Amino acid sequence: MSKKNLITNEFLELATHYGLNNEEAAAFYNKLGRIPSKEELAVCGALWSEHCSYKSSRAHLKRFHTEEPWVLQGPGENAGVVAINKNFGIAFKMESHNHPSYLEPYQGAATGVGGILRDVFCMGANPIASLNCLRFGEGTWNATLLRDTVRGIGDYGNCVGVPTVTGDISFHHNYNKNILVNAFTAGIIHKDKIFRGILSDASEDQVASLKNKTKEILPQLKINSEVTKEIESILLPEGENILIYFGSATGRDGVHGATMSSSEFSSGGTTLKPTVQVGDPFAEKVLLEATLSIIEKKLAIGLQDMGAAGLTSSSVEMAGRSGCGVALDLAKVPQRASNMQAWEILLSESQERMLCAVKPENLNEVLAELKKFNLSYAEIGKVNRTGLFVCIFDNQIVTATPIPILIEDVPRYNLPIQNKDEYLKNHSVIHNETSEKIWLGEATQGKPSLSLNAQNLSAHNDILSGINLENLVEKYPNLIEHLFAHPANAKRSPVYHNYCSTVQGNTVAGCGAMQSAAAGVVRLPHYAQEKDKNNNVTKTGIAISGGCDERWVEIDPFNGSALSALKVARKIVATGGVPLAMTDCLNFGSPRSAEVMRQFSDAVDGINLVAKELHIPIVSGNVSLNNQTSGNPIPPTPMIGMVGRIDDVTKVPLFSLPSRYFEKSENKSIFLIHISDNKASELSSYKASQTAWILGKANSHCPELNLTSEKSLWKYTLSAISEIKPKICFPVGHGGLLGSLISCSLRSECELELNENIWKKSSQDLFSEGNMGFIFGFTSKEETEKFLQLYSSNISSECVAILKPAGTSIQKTVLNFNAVFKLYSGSLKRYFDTLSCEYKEK
Amino acid sequence: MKKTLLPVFPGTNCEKESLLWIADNLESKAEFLDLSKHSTLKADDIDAIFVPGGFSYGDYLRAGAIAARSDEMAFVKKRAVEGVAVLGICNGFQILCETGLLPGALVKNITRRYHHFPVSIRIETAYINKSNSNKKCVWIPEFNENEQEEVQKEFTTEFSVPMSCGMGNWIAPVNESDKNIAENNAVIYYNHNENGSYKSIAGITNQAGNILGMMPHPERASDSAVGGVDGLIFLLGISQSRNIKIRAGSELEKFAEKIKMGRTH
Repeated sequence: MSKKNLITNEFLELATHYGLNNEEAAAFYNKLGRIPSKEELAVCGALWSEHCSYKSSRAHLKRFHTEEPWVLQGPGENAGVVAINKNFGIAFKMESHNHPSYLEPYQGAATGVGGILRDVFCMGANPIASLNCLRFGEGTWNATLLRDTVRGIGDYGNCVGVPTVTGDISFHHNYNKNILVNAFTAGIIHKDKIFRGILSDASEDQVASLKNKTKEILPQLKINSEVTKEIESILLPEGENILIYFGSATGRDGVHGATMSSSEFSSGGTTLKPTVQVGDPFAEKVLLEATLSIIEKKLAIGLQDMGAAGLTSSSVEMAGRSGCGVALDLAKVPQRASNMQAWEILLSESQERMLCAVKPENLNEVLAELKKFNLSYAEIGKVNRTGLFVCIFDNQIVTATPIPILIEDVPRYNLPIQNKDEYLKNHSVIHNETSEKIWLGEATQGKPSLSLNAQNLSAHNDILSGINLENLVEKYPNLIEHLFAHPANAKRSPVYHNYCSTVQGNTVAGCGAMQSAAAGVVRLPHYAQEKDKNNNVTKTGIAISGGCDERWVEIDPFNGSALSALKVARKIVATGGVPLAMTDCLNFGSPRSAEVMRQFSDAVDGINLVAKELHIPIVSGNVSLNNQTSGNPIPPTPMIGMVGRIDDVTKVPLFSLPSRYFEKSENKSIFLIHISDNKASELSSYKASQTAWILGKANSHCPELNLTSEKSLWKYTLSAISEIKPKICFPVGHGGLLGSLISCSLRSECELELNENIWKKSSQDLFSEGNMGFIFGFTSKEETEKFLQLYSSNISSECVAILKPAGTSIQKTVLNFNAVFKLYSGSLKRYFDTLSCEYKEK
Repeated sequence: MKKTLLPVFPGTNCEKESLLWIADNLESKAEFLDLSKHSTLKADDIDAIFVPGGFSYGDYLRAGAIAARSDEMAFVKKRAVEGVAVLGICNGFQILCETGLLPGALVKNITRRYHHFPVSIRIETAYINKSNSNKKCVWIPEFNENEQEEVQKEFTTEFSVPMSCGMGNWIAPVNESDKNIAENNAVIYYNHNENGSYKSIAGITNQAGNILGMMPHPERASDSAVGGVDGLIFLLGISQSRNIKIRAGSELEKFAEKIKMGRTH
C-alpha cells in the first residue's frame, strides 16, 4: 500500500503523455517495483501500444489457422514464409499505414511501402512484387488524398525497383476521415537462409559464467547511476555480440508514431503532423542491397528493421526472442537533429534504419560491407545476460527494465463483445450516405472533389422488381454510362500509371504491364527456378491479390469476411494459381466499442473458416484499430493479401485482351462463357451488390457462403486453365455478371455482343454479386466446345457474349462503347491532373 | 568470348534483368562493370556497354547527373569514343546525355509526373534500310529492300514496350546546328508523345551511330512469357552489326527466325 502512494498525479500525467492509461501505468509500476524513469515510460508506452502489442486483438488472433506443411515461417516474425518449390520460399506480409497517410498522404503512403519492404528484406528475402489496397471517402480532401497516396506509393516503390503489380481501391463515406493505406510485398527467399530477428544464438552453457558474474553485480545497477567499470563489464561484456545500427540517421520524425496510430483522431488532428515520417527511397534501395549482402554472406546473427517505435521495438523484440538482455549507448546513435533527448532517440521512427547483431569476429567484415555501400553506421550496444533493456545516455543509466515486462507482461484485454443477433439486427440494412455528386465531367469549381453519389432509386426499384435487361436498357439508356463513370467502377489506369509494374523483368501480368490478369503474376527470378523431371527449367510463378468487401463485412462480419477472403482467392484461381497462404491487415474502429469487437471477432472467425477449409493458412498480419474520428468508425475492413503458386506462367489467362489484339491476330472474336454453381443466383445477392449500393444507396442481405460449391468451381477452373489454356479468365465481381462483362469489354477496348438469352434475363440476377462464378474467354469455337464438354454435376456453363474488334457494328448493344469509354477512363483521371503540392503552395 | 559491360550505380534498379537480357540472348559475356577488373579492357575486348535504368544516386540534383561524373562513366566515355557500341535505357539515356555522349537533355515529363505504361513507338525507316548509308545505328538491324516489307510493317509504324519515367521529356540542344544534327540522328519516335519530347523523339544516336539512348524499356518486352518480344529488335541489331552470335534456343533466336519467315512469305 505504501507503493500506491508513490503514484502521483504528475506521474500519471506523464504516463498518459507516453500513451499509457492510468491502469496500465499502475501495472507497469507494480511490475517494476519502483517509479519508472521518463525514458522507461516512453519505452513501455510504445511497446504496450495497440500497434506493437496487439493487446486488444491478441485474444482473437490466436484462433487463426496458421499451419500447413508448406508453411516455413508462421506469424511472429517480420513476415511469413511459404515454400514455393524445393529450395525457395515466398516471404510476404501486408501492413497498414492509415493514420500517417491521412495526415500527410505522400510521405505517409511512401513510408508505408518502405516499412513493408524492410519487413520482407530483413528476413533475407528479395522483394519481387508489391500490391496495395486503398480506401477513400468523398470530397476535396479525399481527392487530394487519393492522388497523393498513390504518388507516394508509386514514387517509393518505383525507385526501390519492386514492381507494383495489382491493387484494390474502393470508396465509402465512412472512410472520409480515416482512409486506409495497406501495402503488401512478397519476396523470394532460400529456405535455408530465412533470417530471424534474434540477438544471440549462444547456448546456456556458453553464457553460464557471464550469467553468474552478472548476478553478482546486477544489484549495483540503478536508474540514474553512473556506468562504472564494473557495471560496464556486465552491460557491455567482452566477447558478446555487438549491436550495429546502420542506414539513415535518427531524427525527430515519427516520434510517438506507434502511440498515434493507436489512438483515434480528434478534430485537432493537424497537431500530430510532426509525427509523420519522411521517406528516402534511394536510401532504402542501398539499405536493401547492403542487408541482403550481409545476410547472404552470413555475417550477422539477427537483423530487424526499425519500424513502429523504432530502436525501442527492434532491440527489445529481438532480445525478447533470444532471452537475453541488451544495453544501448544512445549517444552513439547517428543523429540528424541536434539536442535529441534520450526518449526521442528511443521513439524516433526515422525511416531506412536497421539494427543487426554481429559476432565480434565478424565485426570488421560487416563494417567493411557497410562502408562499401556508403551507409552510415555505429556500434551502439551489446548483448548481455542481465535480462534488462538498459539504455545509457551521457554515461548515465536511463532505463533498466526487465525485458519480459515489456514483451510478455503486456496488458491483455478481453474487451466486451456485442451480442451477435443484436449486431446483425442493427446492421441488417446499411445506408450509403454519400452526398457529393459532380457527375459525368460537369465543370467543377476549384479543387476536384471525389464524388460518390449517383442515386437512381427508380432504376433500383425496377431492377428489384425483376425487369429484364432489354427493358432496363430501353427505359434507362444512360444507366450503364452512369454506373461506369462512378469511381467504384471507373478505369483504374490513372492510379496504376503511377506504379512501375514491369521493373525486374518478371512481370507476367500486372496493371499497366504488357498484359494483365485477374491477379498480379510474376515469374520467379532465374536463380530460383528448378529443373523438372524432363530436365527443363521450370516456369514457376506467383500470383498475388488483395482486397476486401467492407460492406458485406459490415452487414454480416462472419460471412462477409469469409466471402471477402474467397473473392481475393478467386482472383488467384482465375490466373491458374493455387492459393497457398494469406496475410491480413485488420482495419477496424476502436476496440472499446462492443460493436467493433463483434465485427473483429467474427471477421477473424470468418477468415479462419476459409483458411481451414480451403487450406490457405494465415502466416503473417497486422492489426490497425482505432480507425475512427470523433466516435465514427470506418466500415470493418479485414483486408486480405494472398499468394498463390502458378506452375506454368505461359498458361496464365488474362482478364482483358492485350492492346491491339485483334489487329495482330487472325481471330475476329473471343467467345465468353460463364460458369457458376447451379444455384448461383440463390447464393448471390443483388441487395448486397455494389450496384444496389450506388443506385439504391443501401445494402442488405449478405450473399451466402458455400464452400463445397466454391471448391468444385476452383477445381473446374484450374483444370480448364491447364488443359485448354483459355485466353481470358476472371471471377465475376463488382457489377455482377453484366458489370463484369462490360468491364472486360472496356478494359479490352473492344465491342461486346451479348447473347440473346442474356437480354431476356432478369436484371436483378445480372447485377447480383457473391457467388457468381467465373468468366472464360476462348479464341475459337473448337476450344469453346471442348470447354463446354468438361462436366461437373453442380456446375452450369453458358455462352454469354462475344468480344469483337472495336468499331465492329453490333446489332443490339448494351453500351455505346465510345461514349461509355470516355467517361469510364476520364472519371478518376481528373483527380490526378493537378500538381501534387498545389494545395500547399496557396 | 568478348564482354558486354553494364555500369551499375547505387540506385540503379534494372541491372539484373538488363544483364539477363544480354546474357540469355547473345553469345557475349555480360558482366557488371567493375573498374578494378575491367579498366584494362580495350575496345576490341568489348562487345558493347549497356547503361541500365533506375535512379542512380537517387537522381538527386538532376537525373543521371551524379553518375555521369563517376569514374565508371569516364571509362565508358573513353571506350565509346573508340567506337564501342553503347546503349543507354531510361536512366542510362539520361546519364549518356549528362556525360555529353548524346546531345540534349531529359527534363520533367510534360505532365509533370512519373508514369508507366506500354508506350507506342516506331523506328525511323531509314535506319532499317540497308541501302541508306547516311543513317546507321549499331543497335538497329538493317534489311534489303526486298526483305523490308514485313519488318517495316511491324517496327516503323507501331510497336509497344513499357516506359517508366518521370524525366523522359527530351529537349534538344539550344545551339541551332547541334539541334539540327541531333534531330537528324533521331532513331525512335513516340506515336503519341506522352512525355512531351521535342519532335516526339524517344531515342537518338550519335553521329557515328555507335551510341543509342532511349527512354522506353525494350528489355522488359523481350520474352513471350511477359507478353511482348518486340524489344528484341535492338539485340538483333547489335548481333548483326557487331557479329555477335545469337544464343541457341533463346527468345532472340525465335524472334530472328520469325522475322526471316515473315520476310519469305
